[in-house]
Amino acid sequence: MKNLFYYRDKYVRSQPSAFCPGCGGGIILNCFLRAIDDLGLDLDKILAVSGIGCTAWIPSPNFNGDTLHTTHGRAIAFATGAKAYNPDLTTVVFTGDGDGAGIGGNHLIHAARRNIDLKVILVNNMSYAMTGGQIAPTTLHGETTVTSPYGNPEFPFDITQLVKAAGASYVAKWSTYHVLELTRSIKEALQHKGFSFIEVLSQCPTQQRRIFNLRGTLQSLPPRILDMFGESTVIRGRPDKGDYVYAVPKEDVSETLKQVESLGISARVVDHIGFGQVVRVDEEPESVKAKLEALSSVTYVADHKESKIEMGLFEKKSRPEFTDSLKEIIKKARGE
Amino acid sequence: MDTAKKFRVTIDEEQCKGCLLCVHVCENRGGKILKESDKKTALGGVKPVAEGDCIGCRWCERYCPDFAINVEEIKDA
Amino acid sequence: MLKPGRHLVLGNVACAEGAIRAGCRFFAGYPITPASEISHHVAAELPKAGGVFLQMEDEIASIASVIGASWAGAKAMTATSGPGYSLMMENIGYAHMTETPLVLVNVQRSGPSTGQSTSPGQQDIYQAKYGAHGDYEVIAISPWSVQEMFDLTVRAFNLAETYRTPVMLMSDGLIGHIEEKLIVPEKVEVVNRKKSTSMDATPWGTDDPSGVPEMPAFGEGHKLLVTGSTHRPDGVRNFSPEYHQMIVYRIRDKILNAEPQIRDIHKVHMDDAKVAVLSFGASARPSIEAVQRARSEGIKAGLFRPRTIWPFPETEVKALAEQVEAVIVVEMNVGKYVKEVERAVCGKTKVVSLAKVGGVLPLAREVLNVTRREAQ
Repeated sequence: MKNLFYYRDKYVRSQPSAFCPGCGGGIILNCFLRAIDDLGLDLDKILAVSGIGCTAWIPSPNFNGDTLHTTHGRAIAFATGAKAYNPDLTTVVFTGDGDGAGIGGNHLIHAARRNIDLKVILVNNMSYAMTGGQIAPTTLHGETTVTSPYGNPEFPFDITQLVKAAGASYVAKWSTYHVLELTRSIKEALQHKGFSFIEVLSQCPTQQRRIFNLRGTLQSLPPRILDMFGESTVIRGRPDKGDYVYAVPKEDVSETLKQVESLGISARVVDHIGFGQVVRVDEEPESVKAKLEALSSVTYVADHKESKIEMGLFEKKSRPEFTDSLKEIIKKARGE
Repeated sequence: MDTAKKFRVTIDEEQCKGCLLCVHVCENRGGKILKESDKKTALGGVKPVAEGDCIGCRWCERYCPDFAINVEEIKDA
Repeated sequence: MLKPGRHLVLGNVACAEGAIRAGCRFFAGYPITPASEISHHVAAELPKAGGVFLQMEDEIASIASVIGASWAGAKAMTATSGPGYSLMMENIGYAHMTETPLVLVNVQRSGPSTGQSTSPGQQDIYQAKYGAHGDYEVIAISPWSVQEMFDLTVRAFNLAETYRTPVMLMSDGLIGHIEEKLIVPEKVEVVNRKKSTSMDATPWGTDDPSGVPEMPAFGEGHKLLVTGSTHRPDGVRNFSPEYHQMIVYRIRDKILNAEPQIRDIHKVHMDDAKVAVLSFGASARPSIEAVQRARSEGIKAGLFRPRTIWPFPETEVKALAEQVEAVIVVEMNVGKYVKEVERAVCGKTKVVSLAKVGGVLPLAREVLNVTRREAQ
């Protein structure tokens, strides 16, 4: 079993990285290096392309292979040129939600439409983190950011559906909480021939403190956001034991917790992307729902699956791949 | 029956930023041996320390964003 | 591909032929009048040479993929006109900062904005030099004929490879859309970039006096760090003033110091000329007509036609100023190149601007009248 220093010494160029303590970017690099190592890929034939933003720093300069650190939003277009000219390059693009689906949205959907064999890892921290936490195409409606002090007036993309509709032939979504599934998904993408897209929900202690209104020290946030991702997601295709509910507090969650516990029910406060801080009650819903709804400090009792983000595999099919078509063209042009 | 494997946990002080993700996952999924120490890492974060017998689950290695923790099996002679 | 020998060919087609002959094996473009025929011909001919033609979703993606392909080892080109050229600026700046060889053809049309989309213009020449943000030096060449659309495209590639820099081929809607005789040579001189000789080559730093570093490619095990951020010779990002000055001055000087070799001026009747008509590209055609008519009237006129408009042929224009009593700068814009000429001439002689806007060529008669006036 290989230890972390093995991956570091073989694949990591310079450390410490420039990421904030507990940033998800480092975890994604961790998963990526394990995936390429497990597959035994030739390091000299891997090209990591990135745009501008925190995510762009995952490969540049941390990855000890060929890296192309481009302009904001254009990584996929740069990567298309390199891949189309030299299809032997295993070309992986690291882009953020703003970089990839904001300014880079046009290149994203066209590369998906072409089904060019690029592996795109879109790191979604739900904001423009590097530049200070502005709203991104993924920021939820109503959320406060530095550019939406009165609540975000916009609605986010569902990026996996967008990319799937555009024609991507492998589409998955994971988070930095799901490190085993993410590593496996990157391996699948690396082996898939065609536009392979993985969206990764990633924790950003610096900006998500405001976005998710997480009170507490910055130090406490990395583990807390990771747990929030675990709490707020559901995995497609996995059997779902739904024997719990959430009591959504009117204002102070500790007041709600006290009231729930006074009913002799064991409960705990958790962070939930959809509802903010809530009281999770691990009991059969029927047995507790009515009692909880009656509590003065509870506005609403949510079913365990409500407002959860779906993780997993959204698309995996084979479709003619763009560089293969380019090779066909050369044959046709030469009358072969 | 002492056939359980033994592991040595190493923290790279120069690269650890003290994000404590390793402590968190060790607490929740591992052998509960990683703790916050009262010392700081070179980069000014809270330095984690391993106290007790690591079970080699390696969750800490999976979640470390800075490649700063290492779990090595000790093959005794 | 056209066989060596004589052909009657569209300017844009000659450009595409020249590119492929020069070794272009990657082209990405986006449809735009009056440049589209370049893409059409490349789409048909490049695959025969084993090259890749892409039509991208916009001009930003076109230049981006050209840069990506160049770092994958390709000689790469794109072609556009004003509106696309404006969209390409940021990535042109990126190509300069990373010292990426490429050829960009701007078949200029009469702007600003959509303007006279089918009419020629020479209004983008400052954009060629200063279009992207930041300090850098550019090579820009301006063909005046179908033959030069071929020859100067070949030269553009050789200059791009020699100096590891983007080269702008500043054509226009007229030169791109006329059909003229083209002599396709048996062989064209082809220059290739300096490949890296060792694994620890520094792709963005060199002690070579030319200031042009070796250029490895992706997939060769060099673990390249190509970035638009200010970087050290080995590519690692470093924002210190010292490294920034090092890279900006080297990128500038590798072009300026080589100006004598990049310089390419076509002179007609200049030896004893008293009045010089300074023009380039399409505007130089009525100018040569005017010069010849003036000569037939006994006027000592001459044509001074820079094929290489940037870097500015400083020493040549200063020498010109010592020789003639007037320099008439003929161009299809509100008067841009004339400012450079005035700066270089620095009052040594009279500089007259014959600048014409409206998407129409200056007429030989107009140039002749000014020449006559200045000759008295």
